[in-house]
Amino acid sequence: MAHTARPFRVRAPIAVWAVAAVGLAVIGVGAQVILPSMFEIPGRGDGVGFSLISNELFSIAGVPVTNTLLSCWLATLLIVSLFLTARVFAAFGHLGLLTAIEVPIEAFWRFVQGLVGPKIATPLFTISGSAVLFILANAWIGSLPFYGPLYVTASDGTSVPLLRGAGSDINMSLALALSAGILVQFFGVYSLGLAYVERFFRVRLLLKGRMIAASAEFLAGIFELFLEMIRVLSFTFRLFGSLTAGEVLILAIGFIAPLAVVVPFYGLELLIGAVQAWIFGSLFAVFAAAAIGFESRDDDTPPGAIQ
Amino acid sequence: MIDGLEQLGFHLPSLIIYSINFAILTAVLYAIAFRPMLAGIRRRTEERAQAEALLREAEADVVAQHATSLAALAEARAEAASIIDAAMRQARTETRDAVERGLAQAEARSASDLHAQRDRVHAEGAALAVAAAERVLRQALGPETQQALLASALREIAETNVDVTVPLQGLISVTSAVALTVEEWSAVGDALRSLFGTYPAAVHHVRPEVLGGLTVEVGDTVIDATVLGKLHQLQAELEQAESETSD
Repeated sequence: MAHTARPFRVRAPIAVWAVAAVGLAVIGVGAQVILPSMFEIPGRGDGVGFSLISNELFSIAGVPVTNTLLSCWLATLLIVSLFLTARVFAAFGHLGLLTAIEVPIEAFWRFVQGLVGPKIATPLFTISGSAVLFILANAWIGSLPFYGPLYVTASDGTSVPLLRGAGSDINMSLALALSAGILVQFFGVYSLGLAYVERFFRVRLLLKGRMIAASAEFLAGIFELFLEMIRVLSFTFRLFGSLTAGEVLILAIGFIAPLAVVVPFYGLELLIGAVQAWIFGSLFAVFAAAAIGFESRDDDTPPGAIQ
Repeated sequence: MIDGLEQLGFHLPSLIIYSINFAILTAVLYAIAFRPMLAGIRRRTEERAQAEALLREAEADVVAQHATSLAALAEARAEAASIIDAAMRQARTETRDAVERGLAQAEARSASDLHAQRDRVHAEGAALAVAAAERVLRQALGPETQQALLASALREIAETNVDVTVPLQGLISVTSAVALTVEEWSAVGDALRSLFGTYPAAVHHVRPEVLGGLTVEVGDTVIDATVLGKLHQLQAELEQAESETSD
């Protein structure tokens, strides 16, 4: 069925609007009325504190479920729900939401394709684009009002926040950075083969018997390898530091100033989250491009060819 | 290093769960979002490429048509120049012919006018000569000369071959410059008898302008044996001779 493109203007059927309104009402009432009665909400007199370690809420088969992991799942569900909702709207002929989502994603696709060429553009875009959305959702969802104030009693009997932005959990940042680092190496090997491995283990001069030059080359290769590892740590702490700092900032400002003063910082946090997500995805693509050929390419040149 | 990370909250099971969660999200997003979107992008790219190809073809067609138009225009201009050149040549030829014809006609008219003028001059000259001769003769003709001229005229009349079958209608008119005596009139009768075979009735007129000699008129037939007739004959011969000389 062919759809005609329209400007971004959602005209969903009444039933869809009704479902959305009911859902929002449930969320609002739950946040303002029901949840405070279920969870513990500390007052100002309890003081303010922040821990870099996320809090374990409960465990499933021995695997601890922390408040940041719960938030991460919620963000994941929101991302998937957003795309499913957009597709449902599009199925009804309302393409505005889908178009609004696809425009920046398509811009990122063209950016990635321009960097690495057609061979690995699709898998790299899929992974880096998912990382961007994942980071964005986790950064923004932490700014919701019911993040932080709602406390529950953990399995160990302590009172801990129910939800906490996953960006402040180093495990999420490290998981993304490790995934990116490993995939960059995979793309390098996939595109260049042994030539990519030789970048780190330079043994040609050693085989030729030129020991002094071979030693220098080998040392340079080791430094390259070390640099790749440092890059993962850099990835991790850039993301972790930025998102955690924002959360700490919001918490501190919220404690010492009224809500009206905090609101601009929420806007700042939204901007920082978007920028950090974009930076992570862009660096991921740039590192992959550097791994496969050191040069950006717009043509169909085989990625293995070093220009 | 691991200890430092643990102080920041590093927890290997959580790391694995985050990684799995990210992998699942990536797979789901690829299935529900990226793959359809990339298909749409590729479709739009192909459509744009096709549109651009069509545009290039259209541009090539326009260029070709423009070149064809220019060639046709150049050909038309060349043909027009050829037509104009041919028309100019034809016009020059016709003009030259017309001028030549006009010149020929003008020359012919001029020659004709010249002949006419010359004939007129000749005629006038002959007339003047005859008039002068007439004046001289008029003064020089005396009675004896008149008798000699009369005798000469009678011989001439007698020698004239006149068709005797000419019906004698009316009177025969005899004209002389001076009055005739009886003998002379008798001699005229004899001459007429020798001419017609009988004595016809005749009347006599005296007209001094004939200078001398006789004129016999029978119907439409005129036998001119006068001096004036000789002069007129001389004038005619002069005109003819000069005309032939000028031609």
